Amino acid sequence: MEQVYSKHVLLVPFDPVHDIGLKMIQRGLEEAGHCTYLLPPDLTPEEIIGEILVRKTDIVLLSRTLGYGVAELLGRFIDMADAAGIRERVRFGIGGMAIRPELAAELGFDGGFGPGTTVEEAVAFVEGREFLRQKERSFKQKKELTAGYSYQYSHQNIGSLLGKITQGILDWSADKTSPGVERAKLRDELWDVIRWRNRETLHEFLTEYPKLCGEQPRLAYTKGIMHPKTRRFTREEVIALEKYVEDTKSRMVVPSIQHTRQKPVIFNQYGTGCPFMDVGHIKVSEAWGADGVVHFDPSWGARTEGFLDGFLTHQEDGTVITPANLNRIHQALEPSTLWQVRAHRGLNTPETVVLAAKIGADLTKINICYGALGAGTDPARMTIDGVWAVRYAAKYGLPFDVVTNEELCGVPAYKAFAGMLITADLALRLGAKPVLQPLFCFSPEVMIGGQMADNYVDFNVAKVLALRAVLHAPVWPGAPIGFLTHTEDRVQSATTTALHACLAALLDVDAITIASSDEAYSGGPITVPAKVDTLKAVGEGLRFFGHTNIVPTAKAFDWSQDILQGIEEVLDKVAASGDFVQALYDGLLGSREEGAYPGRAGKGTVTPR
Amino acid sequence: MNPIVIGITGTAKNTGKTTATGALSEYFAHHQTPVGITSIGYDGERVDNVTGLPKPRLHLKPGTLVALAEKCLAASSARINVLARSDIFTPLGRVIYGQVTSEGLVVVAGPNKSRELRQVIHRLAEIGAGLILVDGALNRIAPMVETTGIVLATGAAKETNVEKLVWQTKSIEKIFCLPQVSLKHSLEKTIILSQDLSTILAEGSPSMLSEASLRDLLAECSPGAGAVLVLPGIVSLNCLAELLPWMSEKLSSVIFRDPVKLMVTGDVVAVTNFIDQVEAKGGQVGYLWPLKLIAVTVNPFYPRYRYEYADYLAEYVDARHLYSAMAQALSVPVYDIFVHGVEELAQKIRHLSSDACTF
Repeated sequence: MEQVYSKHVLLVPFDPVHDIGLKMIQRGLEEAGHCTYLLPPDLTPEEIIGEILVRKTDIVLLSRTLGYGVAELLGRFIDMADAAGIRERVRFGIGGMAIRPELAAELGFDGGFGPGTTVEEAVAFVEGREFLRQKERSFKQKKELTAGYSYQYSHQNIGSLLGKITQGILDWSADKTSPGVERAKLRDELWDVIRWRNRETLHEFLTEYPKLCGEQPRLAYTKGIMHPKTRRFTREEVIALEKYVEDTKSRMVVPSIQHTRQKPVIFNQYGTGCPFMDVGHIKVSEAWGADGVVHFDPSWGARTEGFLDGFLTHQEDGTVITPANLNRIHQALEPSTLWQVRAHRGLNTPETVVLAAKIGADLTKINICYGALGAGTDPARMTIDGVWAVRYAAKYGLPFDVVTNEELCGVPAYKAFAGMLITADLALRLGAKPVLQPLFCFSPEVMIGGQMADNYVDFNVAKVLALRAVLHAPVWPGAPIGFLTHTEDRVQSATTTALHACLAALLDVDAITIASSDEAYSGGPITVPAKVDTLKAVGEGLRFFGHTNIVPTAKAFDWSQDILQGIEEVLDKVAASGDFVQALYDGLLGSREEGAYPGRAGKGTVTPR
Repeated sequence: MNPIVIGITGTAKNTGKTTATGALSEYFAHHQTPVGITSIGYDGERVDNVTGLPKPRLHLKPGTLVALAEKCLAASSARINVLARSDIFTPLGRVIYGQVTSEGLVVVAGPNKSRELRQVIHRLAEIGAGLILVDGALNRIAPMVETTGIVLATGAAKETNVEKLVWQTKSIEKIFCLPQVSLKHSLEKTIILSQDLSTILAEGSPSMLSEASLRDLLAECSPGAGAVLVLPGIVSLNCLAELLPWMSEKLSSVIFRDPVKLMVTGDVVAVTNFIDQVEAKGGQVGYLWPLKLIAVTVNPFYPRYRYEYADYLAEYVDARHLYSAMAQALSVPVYDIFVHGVEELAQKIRHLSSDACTF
């Protein structure tokens, strides 16, 4: 290793007042073993030159806020230093809010340090090292959400009820299949991502695949007819995208906004309809501190049997899942960014898992109950496809969250949790790694029941406590946190998201998904400034709380017991019914009265194997 | 062969430095003189970062040699073939040597200290530059001691009152046109020499920034000596004032290393007053290494701030009045490049010879 010799550094506040930045740099330099001397403020250039001449000085670091005529003053100062022969042996750095490298060059300094300069950067300048801002500041690694969890049940009765129910699901599904399952099998066996990336034509796959698709994708494969809401990118657009990604990556710095905490991992969604715009949104999320991004597909995609092919943009929100779209998006990600592709509803769930995994996704999203009761997919179809989605998630090592957004329809938390635990238990049986996703929301249940009349804390705490009392598994509140607390006011929305994020952090959960501040009211794709609002607000919130705590009231504990009891009762009924799929139709996991309607997409498509 | 090195320095932003540099480079390129260009600052903003007004940019012809920071390459529209890399670093990256292969705009930021400029000039000459133009930087002139002579760009952007501007420029001319002195002594310290320049009577630190150290030095030599003070470093205005009473009493002359040492005091009028007073007392001020002031260019443009709109507007003082007042007052040639072009200035540069005044 190269020896770094101790330097003599003169710190010069070239302002009428002391600069706190210089004091921080002074501390950093001293910790790094350098000798520093901080001059008093408000000396004349001649006096400063005099100090440099009489002190042993290797480096001079000045700080100055630029104002009227200050650039001229700094230029003259450097000129004097040069004329006095000092510049032959002393290096000069200038720092301040308005300083840019161009200005430092114009003023004759050896280095310029603008806003966002770190102490490490100043130390590197002093030591004559090239500061690799990119590397040092981007030192962020992909986080593993499921590490350290035993997945053991601490609530034995719930554990055994789940075992009974999921055995029933596996027995039921053993002799059944669906077009979705068959396509997933094809995608798994015949679609080779390496050959596809090498632009080889996958004849075998392309012969069989269209036969298993619905009309729209089949027409696209056989006759080249595009889906009416999509079009291919032009060559110019592709070149522009590649340039944009290259430029953005070259200056990307990925901060961590958790402050002193390790958790939660922060997810942000994208899904503008246009993969190019998605990439822009992803790069913004990354640059403002998101650790992961979530792919949103269009709702018609979920009702269509099969995936289209090609690099396609789409004129509504939700980005079409095609191999090329996912691949372009994946290529644009920073190495530290976790990438989730949702597979929780619709007619392509197992194939989504296979395709996403082959392209390089880190996570997916699966919940049979929510997919069937809150997201429009026929319960039988959702069950057979869900089982296979979980199998492929296990095969490809893709952890997934078990989302419970049926709460938004009006299904009470305990029922939604019972459904979540069924999918989670299925995952454990099949060797996959589920992540529990309670919804942090102002749900219809609490609007009517009054659990959030006073605060948003207690009931959300109750949910997490209840889940932790059942299973030792990671928890990832979502999606997005603060659902139904947002308004069209961006400040309010960013604030409520930040407060929910802080609550999640203080509960030590593993991850959160946050909305952009205009998500609920955008009337179209979310906007970049709104994304930045929320990320900044969350970062500020986590900075504010650090490792302190929020103390819930006793109600949180009472409600967690209520939830636990509710889960047990629901599972009891489902187990007693002996038929999970029928239980879904019958409303045991969320009834029509509660706003949960068994979905119809894919009805009648489950066939004997 | 040593190349001719011309420093183009401005009295303020927007006085016409870049226009002069561009016009000269174009002229010499057209007349088959291999030109090398570098800058001691950063030049290339499309709009002024203070006024928001458009700025002239350097448009270079194929064949022009350049020494500029690496990051300038991407910011330039001209194609530049990189010939060599230096070990000089700037806030915009390492300085490289290159040659323009297809014409276009070039952003130039180069070495910003004297020692590095010396190295760059040497290298540009080695790779074939017969004439080197060094673009100046905001309020900086020190590295220009490495040049053969300077062209001073001034104008209404420095001062809109033409009479005041002429007076300031005349002061600069006065500072530059002091005579040269040859000495056999080394220049590492401030020394006081006997009248015949043969004996060192006292010595002190090379720069004089506090009156006390100057007084200590002067106390060492006896009155009526007619001694010569040789001050190779920089000097504060306070020290210049402190010198005056000693001029008739103990000292006959003051010798500085070069005009830059007086220019960096930042107040040319005060320096000129000092010179006038020394001369009035029968004394003299000179340099060991004069720096030739080749010409002055004038620019009637200035950015006028509009309070009502909080922006700047391009304005001009009377160009003819500015030129004639300046030309009348100065001994060095004066040009308004927009009116006169650069031919005459270029001819002067071509025929630069050592016609510096002697002591």
